[in-house]
Amino acid sequence: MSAGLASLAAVETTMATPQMVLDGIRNRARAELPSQVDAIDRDGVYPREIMASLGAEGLFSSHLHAQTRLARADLGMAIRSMAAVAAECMSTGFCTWCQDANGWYLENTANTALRERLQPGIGSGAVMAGTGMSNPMKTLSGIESFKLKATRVDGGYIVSGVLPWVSNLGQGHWFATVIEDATDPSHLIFAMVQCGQIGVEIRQNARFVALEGTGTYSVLFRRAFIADEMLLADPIGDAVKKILPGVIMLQTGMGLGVIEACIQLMRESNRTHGATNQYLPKGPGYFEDAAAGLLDDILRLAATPTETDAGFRKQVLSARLRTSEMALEAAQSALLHAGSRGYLQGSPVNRRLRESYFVAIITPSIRHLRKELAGLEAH
Amino acid sequence: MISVVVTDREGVAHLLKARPGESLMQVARAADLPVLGECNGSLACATCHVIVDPDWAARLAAISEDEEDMLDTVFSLAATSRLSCQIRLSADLDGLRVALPA
Repeated sequence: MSAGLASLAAVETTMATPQMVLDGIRNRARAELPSQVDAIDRDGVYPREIMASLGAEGLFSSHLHAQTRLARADLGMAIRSMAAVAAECMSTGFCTWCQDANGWYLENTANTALRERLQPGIGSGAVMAGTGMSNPMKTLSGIESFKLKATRVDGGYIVSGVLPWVSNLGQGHWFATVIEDATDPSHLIFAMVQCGQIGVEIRQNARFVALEGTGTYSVLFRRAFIADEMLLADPIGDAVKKILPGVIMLQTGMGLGVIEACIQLMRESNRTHGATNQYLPKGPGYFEDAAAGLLDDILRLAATPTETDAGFRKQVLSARLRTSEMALEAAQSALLHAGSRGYLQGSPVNRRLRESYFVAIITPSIRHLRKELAGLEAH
Repeated sequence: MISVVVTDREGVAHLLKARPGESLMQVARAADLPVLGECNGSLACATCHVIVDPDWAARLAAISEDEEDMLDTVFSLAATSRLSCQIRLSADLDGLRVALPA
């Protein structure tokens, strides 16, 4: 057999169907996360080993054409896989989104050398990565101003500033962000940065009401050198516009997982309190139908993730907004079904409520989404 | 009440009134000045950066290592830069003057 045929045969033997990949991820998540979820959620235990083992099942690679074991890259599969993880532990689902988003930035960069260097590790889970795009997304929507500023030097940029709240970080982890040229605010630079490189320090100064184990840090840049080789786009051009629909769609995996878990909690409550719960306005059947409709819409949009026209963006933002609002409503309904049992410290309903709030406030938050949608309606 | 004067980026001086124990960040935000304080005083950002009048700088509580580290990331750093979340107002700071960075 020629070398070409041998490599083709190797590809064929490692190729998997979407259902095989999804089953592998779901089974691994169900086996490993339930015993760890409270330590991750409340005690700040970062699930590094679990992330690696889920990565080995293909959790971070479905949407990356050079890394996926599917017949073709499929953003919708990445969303469904994330939902399967978030249904067990949304903190791990959120770390998955961070990892997936970073892989997506590399997928869409013209810097092929950087993609070839970092994407295999990020796609497999051997290398961890986050996304420092909250500040850039808010700034591009007119909500904030850029927190990182750069000055040009030989071979790269010197960068200073602080990015608060970047997740899935740790020493050696990577993240991507946008930096403003200090001498020309119209010049924006999209770059990859590594935690612990000279001048880049991560610091954990705050505690959150949930998701403590998501590796969330402030990132301090003190005259850090970002080499030209680390640039995803310079100038930024349409790079962010191209990646954002995919990044925002990926976030729906977190919300869909929370909704799935809340439906399960409602069903469990109905086993003992169904006679009373039947008088609640919305039950598990309602949310099951609503979530199925939402997933259908998301998967249709995810089939063309790099479209940039206004109509497509509006549909993506609307689907993301529906996900947030449905997660909030499903978590509240899970509490109403559980009654006082759900109001106890340590109850799963308690955690799901706090997780659903996170889906609603992570950038783009509900208020941010509504602002963007109002802007699109006005044009 | 304690009086504090905050000069904004346009050079307009704002006379603010504060209760003892409040942070300058809280007082400036309550007056709708552009002092974000996104981390709410947990020393995780530098969005409440102010430049203290040199006559007042030495009268403030000593700067901590964490605050100094955070200030070290600021692009428009001045010799008397401070984070307003770390300036706890008291009677002996009555008349304090600070400016917002450009």
